[in-house]
Amino acid sequence: MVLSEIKTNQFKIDIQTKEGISKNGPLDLLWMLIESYEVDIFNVSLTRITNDFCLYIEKNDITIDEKADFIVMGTRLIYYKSKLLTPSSNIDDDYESDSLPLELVEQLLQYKKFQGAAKNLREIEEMANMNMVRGAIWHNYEKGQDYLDVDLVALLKAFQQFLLSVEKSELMSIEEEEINTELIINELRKILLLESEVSFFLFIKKFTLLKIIGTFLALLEMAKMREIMIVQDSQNDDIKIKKNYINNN
Amino acid sequence: MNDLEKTKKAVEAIVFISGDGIELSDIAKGLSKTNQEIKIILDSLIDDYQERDGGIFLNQGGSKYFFSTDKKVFTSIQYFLKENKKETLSKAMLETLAIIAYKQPLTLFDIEEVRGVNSRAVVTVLISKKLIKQVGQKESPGKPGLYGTTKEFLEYFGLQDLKELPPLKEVKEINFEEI
Repeated sequence: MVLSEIKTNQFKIDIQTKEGISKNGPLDLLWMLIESYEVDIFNVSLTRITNDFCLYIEKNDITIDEKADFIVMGTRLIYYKSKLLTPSSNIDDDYESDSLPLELVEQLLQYKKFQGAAKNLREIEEMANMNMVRGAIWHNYEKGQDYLDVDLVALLKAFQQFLLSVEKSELMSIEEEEINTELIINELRKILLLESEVSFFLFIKKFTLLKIIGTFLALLEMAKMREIMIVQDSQNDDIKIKKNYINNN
Repeated sequence: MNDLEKTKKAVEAIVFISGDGIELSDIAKGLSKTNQEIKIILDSLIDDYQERDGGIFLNQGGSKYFFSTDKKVFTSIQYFLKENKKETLSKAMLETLAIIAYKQPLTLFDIEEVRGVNSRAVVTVLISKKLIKQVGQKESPGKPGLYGTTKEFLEYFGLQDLKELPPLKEVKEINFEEI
């Protein structure tokens, strides 16, 4: 078989997905075959390419839906080939010789041409993507909805980090006390009425360890109720508490 | 300071505060000037920045004007960017876009004829991305929709108009050994 000379895994039929991501079609397959023959497109043997093409789609294990475009091309090739076999009265008939009919060659060249154009567009796209406009800097998290994406693990890590530093501090005395998260929530609400942003680290600066934990729980509770937004630029950074305007009104 | 200088300053300031771009006609409306007057001013501002050859340039994409950084500093500023890489279009999308851009207006059938594959899905995605739109209907049986590129297409690729697209290279001229 001629086809066995070509690495069968060289060409992959990509399936058209819902997002319209289809990469290789029958024309790509034809081009791949033509290039593997290493002859000019006008000298390609119709018999050979028809055989290879049909063998190829036969060998590929894909469903009929995905194959449709390939089958259409396959039947077209077979049609051209059948024309070759039937005697024609017209001497100038295109289908007389065992080469690809002009209309197919035309289509293949056309396709190649637009592939080149697509490549150019890619370059232009890359260039355009390198021009950054104002606001491209990474601190533009003020966009709203993005806020609610809190990485809980990072938040907890930052909290643990802080607890460690608290425990080391000599100024802290840990006494038994009762912590009411409800009270802390109310306290935070009062502050947030006046201020748009509260630093977590500053807020809990003089609190006892137990109250800090209570405050943290209060924060999580408030975030759950979508009352506040919790923002942290990077791990170990201060946690900023902001009023959630999106759901408040 | 004469009136023209004043307007020029204002136009520059407006484009600056617009961030990712402002339409020429919007500037004209806001300043109670004609589009032509503003166009002349913008063109001279573009020249000013080009002459200066600094880190930022005044650019035109479609009918929008915006300040953007110089490509040459892209790698240096990459660290500061929120997303290091913008989402790019897939090969199928670019292929279809190229066909539409050069042959518009054209029908879905025309696109499929060039690509050899069913292209309805790709066209739908491109429409949802606002890169193409239906621009009319062909006067043929079934009245199929004709598609063309949008001004968002020009903005996306940073082109002033379609004439800026590189000319199509005929494949016949290409040596086959090169492919």
